[in-house]
Amino acid sequence: MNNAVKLDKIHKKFGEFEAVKEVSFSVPEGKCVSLLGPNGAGKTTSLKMIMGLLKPSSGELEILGAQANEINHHIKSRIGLVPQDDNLDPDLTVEENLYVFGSYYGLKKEFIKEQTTKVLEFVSLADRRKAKISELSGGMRRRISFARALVSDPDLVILDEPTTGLDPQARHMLWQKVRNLKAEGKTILLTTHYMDEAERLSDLIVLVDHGQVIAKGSPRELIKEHVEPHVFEAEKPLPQGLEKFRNEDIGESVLIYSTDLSPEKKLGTFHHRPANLEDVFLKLTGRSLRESN
Amino acid sequence: MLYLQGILAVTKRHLLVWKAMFFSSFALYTLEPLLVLFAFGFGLGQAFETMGGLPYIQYVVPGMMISAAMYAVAFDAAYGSFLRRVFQKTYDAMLASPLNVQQITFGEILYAMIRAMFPASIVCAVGAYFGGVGSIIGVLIALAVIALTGACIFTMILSYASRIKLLNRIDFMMPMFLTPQFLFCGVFIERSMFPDWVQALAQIFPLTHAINLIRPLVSNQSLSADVLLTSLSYLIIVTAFFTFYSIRGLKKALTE
Repeated sequence: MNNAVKLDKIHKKFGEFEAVKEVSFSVPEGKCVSLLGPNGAGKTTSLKMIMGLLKPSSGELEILGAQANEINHHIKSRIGLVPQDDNLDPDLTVEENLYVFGSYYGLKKEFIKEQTTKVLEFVSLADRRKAKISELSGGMRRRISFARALVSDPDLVILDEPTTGLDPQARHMLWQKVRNLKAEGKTILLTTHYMDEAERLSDLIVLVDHGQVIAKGSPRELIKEHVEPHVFEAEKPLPQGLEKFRNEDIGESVLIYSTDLSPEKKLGTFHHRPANLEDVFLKLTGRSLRESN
Repeated sequence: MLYLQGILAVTKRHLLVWKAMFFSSFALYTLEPLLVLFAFGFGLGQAFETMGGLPYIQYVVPGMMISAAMYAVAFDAAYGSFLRRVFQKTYDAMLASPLNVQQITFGEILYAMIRAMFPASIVCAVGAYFGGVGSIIGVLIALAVIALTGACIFTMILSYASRIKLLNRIDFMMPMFLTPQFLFCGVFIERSMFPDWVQALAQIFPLTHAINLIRPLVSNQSLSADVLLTSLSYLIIVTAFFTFYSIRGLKKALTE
């Protein structure tokens, strides 16, 4: 299978600061790959390199068959980005926003018109064509951002924290749209702080921290490889006799990780759940708060 | 071809937004200079019958044309560009498309040239009604000079505005860049009436050179080859220099 995106030993320095130390991963065509990591892990810098906005200091970068120094208009036309912060034009209508964006790509008027109808139907906002962006809710704006990224009918869609700040309904709707895109054969690269989102949508997870890839695999593989299958959440302090189990202090309560159900008998009130990607994330990146971004 | 199309797409986006906000922008950048024109034209016009050898109305109309252009362009370069760069992240949206920073900057400059000509044309039309215009062909050439001056002022400010992190860092533009030009560069009072050092200082500002060119054109007076060469070269060289620095500033701010 061909790779839509391939990073091989990518390194990026800003002066003395190493934003990305060594990152290697690939996004196979037609798959969804999530790039996860705490703030300041090097996700944004990696995305900027993939978008062709920054050149790597060293390493090999291949985007849709082109090397880093060959990323031209044609290659960038095949990439659609849903940015972290909405940057639609609030003074313009939905339709005008899509038109303006399509014209940045040098697309023909008729083609933009056709695409506008198509992508607005895709995000179920066809009836808001004439509305001004400033009149729309946050969730609707997100969907317009999504639609805008699809105006040029890109092969690679990059979603940078697409559901931050959305209500559950809007998140579920966006997830469905991402699945639909994948069914259409588009390649998807996602960054998110929501582990459930990454777990639901991705074929492959790439976990980065301090500018390096610290784990790679499918969500299931990562959970199986790095954490015990059972998690018990109980009030602090940790009951006696449970010290032998790996545990994580998460403030009010403590998480107890176990390969079987044995901690159950020693706990009073507790919450039992299967291990998930969040547990992997906490284990591998630690619980300390990251201030830098 | 694609390169040029990209530049035009940026300009077109700005024109659409301008259209959407036309009334507030019209009041600020076009009605305001008309009020000033009215006040000076009638007020000062009574005190000075002539200024610089011209009937006062003919003297003040070209001055108001270029100062109206200056304010329209300056505020867009300072606050508009900050809005697009930081608050609305318009440039980030552009960079997510195939556009690059150079195309964005050239698109901005082209828009500034159009923005400069608009209030100048309205002021000129009103001024013409009161007998403030001597030559139609002169006006057309003057509008081209105004567009160039617009590009000059826009890039001078953008090269700084593209580098600031807080909006109030540009507030000194009013007292240190715009007001001095409005007062001392020959908009409505001849520069020769000020002390020598003020006259010398006025030479560093673009408005002085713009007025050197525009006033003879609009009032149909002869323009000396000497002035033409000096002032036109000033405007072209300064614009080129600050265009380069604007691109550098925006590139650093947007991609690093």
